[in-house]
This record gives sequence, structure tokens and C-alpha cells, in this order.
Amino acid sequence: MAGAAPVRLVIKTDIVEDVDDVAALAVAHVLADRGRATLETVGVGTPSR
Amino acid sequence: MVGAKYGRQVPVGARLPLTDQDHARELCERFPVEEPPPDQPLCTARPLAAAPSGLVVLVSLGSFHDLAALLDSPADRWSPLAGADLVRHRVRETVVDGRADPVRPRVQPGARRPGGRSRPTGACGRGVGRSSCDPVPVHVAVLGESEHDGYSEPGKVDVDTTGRSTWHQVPGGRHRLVLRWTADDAVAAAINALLAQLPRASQLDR
Repeated sequence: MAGAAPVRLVIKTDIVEDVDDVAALAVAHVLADRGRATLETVGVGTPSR
Repeated sequence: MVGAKYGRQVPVGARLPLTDQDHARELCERFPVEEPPPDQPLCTARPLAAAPSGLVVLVSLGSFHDLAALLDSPADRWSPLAGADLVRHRVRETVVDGRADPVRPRVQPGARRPGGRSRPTGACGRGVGRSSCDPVPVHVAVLGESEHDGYSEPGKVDVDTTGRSTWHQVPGGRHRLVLRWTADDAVAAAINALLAQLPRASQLDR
């Protein structure tokens, strides 16, 4: 979809011991590199233990 | 840390309070930042308050506690709108890792869904050929309907007190399921290709 405005992303993660949240953020950054998205903020929602 | 790899400074919020054993605190200590992370609702409210109306896409991976906290947050110096109104006015869509599989519900009891259209990613999970499912909601949030994914007819996701979610097709409903058009391996390959791409910042350094 050429010319489409980048999607403004807010991503809430549960990052702690697995890697898939990191992969999700990496996907967001790559799509931002391609002009498809902007990453506004990231949240870490996993509570302290 | 991920943002630095890709050459971006992205605000990061954490769920406070942090404890001595907290993973977020450990990350802050191992990868020093100028300031400790702000509380997550505040960190989310700031960019929402600054964003044009109805343009933000909210992606939620994992539990909904933090979204519930955002919805319950009061107006502050960053925004005259309280959290629920802020979401209602600024968020265009919410994409959640809701899953269709009732055996492994991800919705926490008592959590509330934010305003806007919710598109539970019922088609993602281990079945996509990788043990990592979190990239899929981001992929869908940015690319929307594609050769891999499409949306169901409108409907509604109900969440019971045990966190079990069920899907009902309802005309005019504000929720949609993500439906998979291609083989799971094809989705995994598409995501792997993105993950294998070098950050643009590192390419510029060459």
C-alpha cells in the first residue's frame, strides 16, 4: 500500500523470560524502517515478583 | 535495548513498583538509562495525548492489567482526558493476542477491554510454525489484511470471570477475529524474513 501513512503503534509487552516480545518489537522496528509504522511507546506490563 | 539496536529512542514504561528482583530493574541496570522508567499508564498516556485523534493502534501482548490501569488512570498534566476518554478519542484499533483457544486464555479476570475495535488474533500461536507468537499481532496491526491474514465478520468477544474468552458473530459488532489465509509456515517465513533484516541504522553505518 504505497503512500499509506505509517501506523502509529503503542505496544504493551509482557517481556520477562521469553524472546517473543523482543521479536515483536524487532518486527515493529523493521516495519518502521520501511516507513510502515512509527513506534510511539513501549510498555512492560509484567509485574515485579 | 531493542530500540537502540534499531537506532531509535522509544519511551519505555514499566509496571511500578519495581523490586530488587524485577527484570525491568535489571535491564535498567545492565543497560543504563538516564532516568528510571515511568509508570506504564503514564508512559502510554503521554504519546496518546500528543497523538492526533483516532490514529493510534494499540497492540497488547500478554495480560491486560496494564490496559486496565490505563483506562482507570485520571486526567493529569499531560492530558485533560482521563484514561478511558483518552483511549476512546485517540485509539483507532486495538489488536490483542486474544486467541481462540479457550484452553490457554490470555485475558485476566476482571480485566477490561479498551474502546476501539478489538481484533483478537485467534489464529496465532504455536501453530504458526514457531514457538513465538507475539510478533504476529504486530505484523497484523501494521499490515492489516494481507496475503496471510484477513478479518472475520463483525462480532463480539465475551470474557467470563475465569478469563475464558468466547467469540460471537454479531452484526455491527466492534470486534473481529483475525483469520489465516495461508499456511502457518508461510506466516512464520514472512516474520522470519523481517527478523533477519538488518536494522536500517546499521546499514547506514556501513
